[in-house]
Amino acid sequence: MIAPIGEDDLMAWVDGRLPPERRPLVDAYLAEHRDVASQLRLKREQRVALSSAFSAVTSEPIPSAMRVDAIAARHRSGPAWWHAAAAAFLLAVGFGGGWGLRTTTLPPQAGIGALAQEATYNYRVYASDLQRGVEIGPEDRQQLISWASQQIGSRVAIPDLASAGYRFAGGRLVATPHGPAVMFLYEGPSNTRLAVLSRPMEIDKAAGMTSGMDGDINRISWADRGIGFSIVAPRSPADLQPVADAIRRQTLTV
Amino acid sequence: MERQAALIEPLIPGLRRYARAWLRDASLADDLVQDCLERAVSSWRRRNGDAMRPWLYAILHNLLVDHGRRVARRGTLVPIDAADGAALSIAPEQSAGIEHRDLLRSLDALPSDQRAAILLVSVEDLSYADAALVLDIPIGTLMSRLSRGRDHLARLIGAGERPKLRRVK
Repeated sequence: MIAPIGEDDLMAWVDGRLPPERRPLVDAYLAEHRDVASQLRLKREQRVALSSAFSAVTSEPIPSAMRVDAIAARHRSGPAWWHAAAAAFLLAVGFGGGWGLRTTTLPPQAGIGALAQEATYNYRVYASDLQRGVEIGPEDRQQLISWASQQIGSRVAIPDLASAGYRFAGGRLVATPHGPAVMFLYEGPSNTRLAVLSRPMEIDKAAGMTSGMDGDINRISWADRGIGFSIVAPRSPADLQPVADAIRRQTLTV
Repeated sequence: MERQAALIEPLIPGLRRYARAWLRDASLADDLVQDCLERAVSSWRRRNGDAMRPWLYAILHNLLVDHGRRVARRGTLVPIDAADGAALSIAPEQSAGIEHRDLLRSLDALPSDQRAAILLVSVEDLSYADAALVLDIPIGTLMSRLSRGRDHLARLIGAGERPKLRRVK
């Protein structure tokens, strides 16, 4: 019994892998079927062309990072290298991706919008614990004023919000993409914390009040004479507005 | 453990060639080969006596397929015309009657399972059994992909520039 010619025979002919016992059979078949034979010759030619098209890389020296002993040593010495590389890669991807998306999804990078965002971030970090959240307490107002004024390069004053029901609880410097800012923290009715963030503005040197919200936190921001203000608290905009008005009045009359 | 290097390193040039034939981007291809080697070393114990060559090619192949999926999802494919040139390794005497660009363009136009079968057998010269292992398919499926892929490739090349093709030695 002789098995009939199959496509596996023809492929093996193309690849030069035909077992000796099948060769006479396939040759006889191809002698009878000239069209199949010419197709197969074409395919054999394509096989040669393909394998030489990509052959150059095999004569390149392999990169030293591919040395297996080096890879094995890294794996033995713990995952530190690999994790560092992965972390760097992810950072790069994150940064690159984020940068690519900046105009569509990220909060504003400058102006009043950015100021309000910075105020919100810092509020979330520092307002939860007044004892640790402030660097300089209410008893050292003068020290806070002179230090902050020096750091942000502009004379600052601590707004008095007692009339609105907020007690001054201290302040601190915070970092922003636009340099240092001063943040004053206040404690209000039923333990509500309110923050006032202030820094010099590069753009939006004078801007009317705008309000916004971020989760449960509302904020009102504005700028006068090159200094921006943003007040942040988990209160309704209607509750915040008188506070904002009070601060603006005080700073404009300094 | 010294055995590892002796078993893996001779196969690295072929792995690089396979990755480069898929991607045409030399540095991206080498990145995936590097990834493949890292995985091979870290999962060495789980190899369970599998033959080295198909085992390594299978790791690389799966990385290439995953990469292709990611790129397809992002929808940013490097146009072939932009990628060839510097990125391609053009061997001087390779075009025995077949125009190099035609060949590569036709190869890229193949469905990836046919392209994989052709590259593993024609370029990497893997046995049919090993190529089937790499692709995790029965050998009969491999043979039919190879056969269909070669038909397809011949048609695509023929559709390109017929006169050049016909200059058969």
